Amino acid sequence: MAALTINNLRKSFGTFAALKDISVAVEDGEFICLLGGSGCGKTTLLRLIAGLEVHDEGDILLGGRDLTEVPCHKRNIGMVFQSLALFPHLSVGDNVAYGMRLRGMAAATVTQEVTRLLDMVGLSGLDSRPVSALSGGQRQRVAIARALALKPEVFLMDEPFSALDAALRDQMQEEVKRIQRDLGITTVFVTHDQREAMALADRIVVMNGGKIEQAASPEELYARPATRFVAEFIGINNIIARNGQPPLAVRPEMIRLQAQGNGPSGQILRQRRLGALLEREIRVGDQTFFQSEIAGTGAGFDDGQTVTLAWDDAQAWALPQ
Amino acid sequence: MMRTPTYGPRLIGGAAFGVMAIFFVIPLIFMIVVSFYQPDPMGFYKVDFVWENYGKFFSSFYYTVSLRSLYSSALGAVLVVALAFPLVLFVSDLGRKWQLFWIILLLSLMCLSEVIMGFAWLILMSESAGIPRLLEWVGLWDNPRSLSPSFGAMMIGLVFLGFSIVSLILYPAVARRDRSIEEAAITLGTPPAMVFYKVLLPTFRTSLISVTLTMFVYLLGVFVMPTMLGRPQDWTMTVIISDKALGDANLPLGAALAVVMLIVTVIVLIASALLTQRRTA
Repeated sequence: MAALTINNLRKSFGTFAALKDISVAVEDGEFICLLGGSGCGKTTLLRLIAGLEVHDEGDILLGGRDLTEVPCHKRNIGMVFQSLALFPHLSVGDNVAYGMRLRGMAAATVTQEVTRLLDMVGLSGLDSRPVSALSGGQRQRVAIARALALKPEVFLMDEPFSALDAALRDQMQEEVKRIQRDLGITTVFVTHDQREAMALADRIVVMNGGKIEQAASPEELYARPATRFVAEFIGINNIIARNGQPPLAVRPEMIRLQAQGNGPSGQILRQRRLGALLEREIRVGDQTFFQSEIAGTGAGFDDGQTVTLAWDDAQAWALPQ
Repeated sequence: MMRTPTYGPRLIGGAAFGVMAIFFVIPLIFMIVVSFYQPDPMGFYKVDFVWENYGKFFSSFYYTVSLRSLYSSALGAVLVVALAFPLVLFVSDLGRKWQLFWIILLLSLMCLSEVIMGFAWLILMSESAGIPRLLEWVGLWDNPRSLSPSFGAMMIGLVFLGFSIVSLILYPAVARRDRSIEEAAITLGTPPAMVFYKVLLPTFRTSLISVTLTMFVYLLGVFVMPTMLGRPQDWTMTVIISDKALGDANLPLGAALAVVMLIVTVIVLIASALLTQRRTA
């Protein structure tokens, strides 16, 4: 049985339908990412799972138990908020101990657990420090330790790394993945960053306009986006319209450039070097194609030069109309 | 390149500070000097240097009045904050239009003078109209009589006076609070009814203490409400000082009482600040 099952979930705010018939099952110990742009319904779905909002229709089952009538404070979920929502009046240790003390756990057990959790997130010895004296990364770790303190059945994270710089975000992603793997906890992670979703998730649920566009592994999602939206959201894709046939999608790295040859030809509009990667924009008729390659692995071209585009048919796929 | 220092804002700030200091310091110095003069019923005071005025403070009458002033101001301040904080929390969770309505209402209350508020409460608590008549009408009071002057009426007046001030001081911080802190507490097992005590009160503790102390000092200086709504035995030191200085033409005694009250207030504030600091640490 799936750890978390969502069936035909609907939620509206006034006349705005935030979620339209969402169904998804999360396996025990699975790490799924809800991925999508602003207003796609990913945070609403997370808040419904947490019980911070009440759904209009459908079911949410946690370990087979229907959560519809279970209030948030009795759901046994751990949640990390986008703002982290640490209690500013409490120290690091007291933040982590909050839920355990509320449940009336023995003081000695609480102390032992706080030490274990802070050790797990790499904050040993900081239990008496005020949270205001911590760095961004340390605050993230406190929020994670606090959410995991009650051994929740499901771990929810709402864009927790959006305020961090790139290096720290990468580091925290690794930490979260390690902790999730070590604990084997079922995790639902909300993000709008496709790189983050790719780095973390066992499965990515791409959402758009309150609906699920595709739920698949990162590899499958990248290689075979099911819809035009997914193809465009996951990365820049060249989507080529064809007469009477479904449009064709080709990824930028699958396109080879030649000075001459058979195939569509166009003019190089722009070339830019991004570290090891070289990206080009090529104007073919009224469409702009994107091409990328490891710098130095292909032939060199000048801006404005006319080139021919080529790709293997096996590397292109037809999208639904 | 050397950065050109900008003196403009500093000069304006310095000038404003200077004006404030002059308007505070000169009357204070005058008050301290006069407090050592001889009282003269014919001409307010005679220039002298006597401790007699301060000696009178330690009579049981003035001692009791001081304690009563401190008590009623402290009680008033605590009641104002205890009522205003939950109301501000409630208002901050309303829609934009309702929030605006409440802010305008509170600002309108602040525009009313203390005298008008006092008269309004006098009418509301009078035997012939207002609350006593209403209680009789609903059958809760068979023999209604005026609720003022009384200690309770005076406290209602003081609380009403401070309510809009405290609400407007607290509103910006409360409205801008990170609501996910309350949600986090709920996800960690806090029943929603306990979030106020477990999270909101502790989070705003420093602001609440600070605004309570501000209100305490403000209520110590209130003159009209105790005079209009309180009995003579409820009158605060401010009323007595005014009575002595203007009614009895004893300016040196009034000044000495004011200096002592100022010292007591400063001691109370410093003690409160130290206690708060120690708790926070």
